[in-house]
Amino acid sequence: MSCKEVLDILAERASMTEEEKRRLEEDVEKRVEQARRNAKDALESILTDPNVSEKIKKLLEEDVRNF
Amino acid sequence: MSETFEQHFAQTPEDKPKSLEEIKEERVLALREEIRGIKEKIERGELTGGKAIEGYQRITALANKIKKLDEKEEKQIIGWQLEGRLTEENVLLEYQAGGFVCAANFSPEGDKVVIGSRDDKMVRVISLTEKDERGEPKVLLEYQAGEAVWAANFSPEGDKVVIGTDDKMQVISLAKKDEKGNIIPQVLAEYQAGGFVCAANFSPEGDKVVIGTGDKMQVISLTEKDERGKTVVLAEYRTGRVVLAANFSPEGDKVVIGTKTDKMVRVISLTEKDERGEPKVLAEYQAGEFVSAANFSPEGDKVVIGTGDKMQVISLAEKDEQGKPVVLAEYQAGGFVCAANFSPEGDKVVIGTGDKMQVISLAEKDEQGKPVVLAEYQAGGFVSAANFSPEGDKVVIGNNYGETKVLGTP
Repeated sequence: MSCKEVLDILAERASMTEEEKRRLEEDVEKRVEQARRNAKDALESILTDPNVSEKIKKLLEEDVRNF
Repeated sequence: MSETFEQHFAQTPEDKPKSLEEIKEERVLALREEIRGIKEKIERGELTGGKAIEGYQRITALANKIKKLDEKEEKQIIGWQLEGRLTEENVLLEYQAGGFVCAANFSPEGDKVVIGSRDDKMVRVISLTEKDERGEPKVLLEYQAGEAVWAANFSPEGDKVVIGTDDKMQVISLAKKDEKGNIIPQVLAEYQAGGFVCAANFSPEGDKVVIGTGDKMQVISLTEKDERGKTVVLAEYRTGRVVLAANFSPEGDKVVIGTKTDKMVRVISLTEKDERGEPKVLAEYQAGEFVSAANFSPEGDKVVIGTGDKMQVISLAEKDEQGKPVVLAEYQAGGFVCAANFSPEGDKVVIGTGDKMQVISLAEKDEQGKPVVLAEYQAGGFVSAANFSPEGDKVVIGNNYGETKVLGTP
């Protein structure tokens, strides 16, 4: 990302209304939550994949459960 | 910051070489550590917003990486093709035996090959999916036969191999393994043939073995013994000449044999007898050259033969006006065809001839009516063994320099 692009973003944020900032934060939170779910799905799919050995599944079982 | 693979291994000094399984486990543990590290940073609030998204995306990528560690090998051996001119890029497995490889065959599951070598007198079972600590194909079994090994084939269940050596047939169990997964060979049956055994194959039920020796074909029971505890010979056909090829029909009720000196192919019944009480000869074919390979088609209605100069497919259903079997396909190889086998679908034949392996179509013919060569590989040595995988997507070959290769296009 170039310096100009960073400055443009900062300028844009500075001109945001409180409502816009709240929405942006909510949007980020949603995206974080979506990314977390994707990661959890990917980890869980290891445990259900018939091509993955039981030994490897066992190594990851607890981590997947606690994710 | 979590460690990389290199750091992880650098911190684990071990004198003993690691097995592929151990290396894989260590990789998974390293990936798991990285996942834990990212998760902890997010939970402690060190990664927020866009950084947290990146962190979770990294965890997703690491999870997929773990899956691929195991999936890679599985995909590696399924769905190959046999087309065109095959080169070293088409070699899935390469193994150097200590001399002339007389036999090379796939296991029924297609995940292993058995090879028999004349010069170092060894029988080896090699994995197509597992590697040793040096990254080479894992040799699951090494069995010193004490004599030149001319024939080696898996049982239909894949739990045994039958071998033919300078003077005997042996059936070896593959069931017992040590803690590293190496097979501890156990000889389940042995039969002194009184001469060299150059053909040895299991029946479709796995309860019998057919052997070709210096002067006869014999069918040997693996389930019965006589009152003195000796092996029972269920059927015998004396040729007085070297039987180079002997194989059961898919139903197990017939045997095809090919002989050297009188250049004959015979299909022999195991259920019917002639007027002298000998096994009945159902079909006889004069090949004009010595017959080194003879195998039934998957349907059992044809046989493929390899002779001194050609491959032929002979019908067992049709006969000409003189009552002789009809030749359905012929391929002039321009040299000795040492190996000839049908594909599992019966639509192709693989041959080992001179220094090349060829896959020949039985469905297509060129404008001159000759069978079309679908795939070819220059082996750099005399191809003495050539067989399809159970899926028909690969072939295994062995040559006189001890080279064993599994070929195909992934």
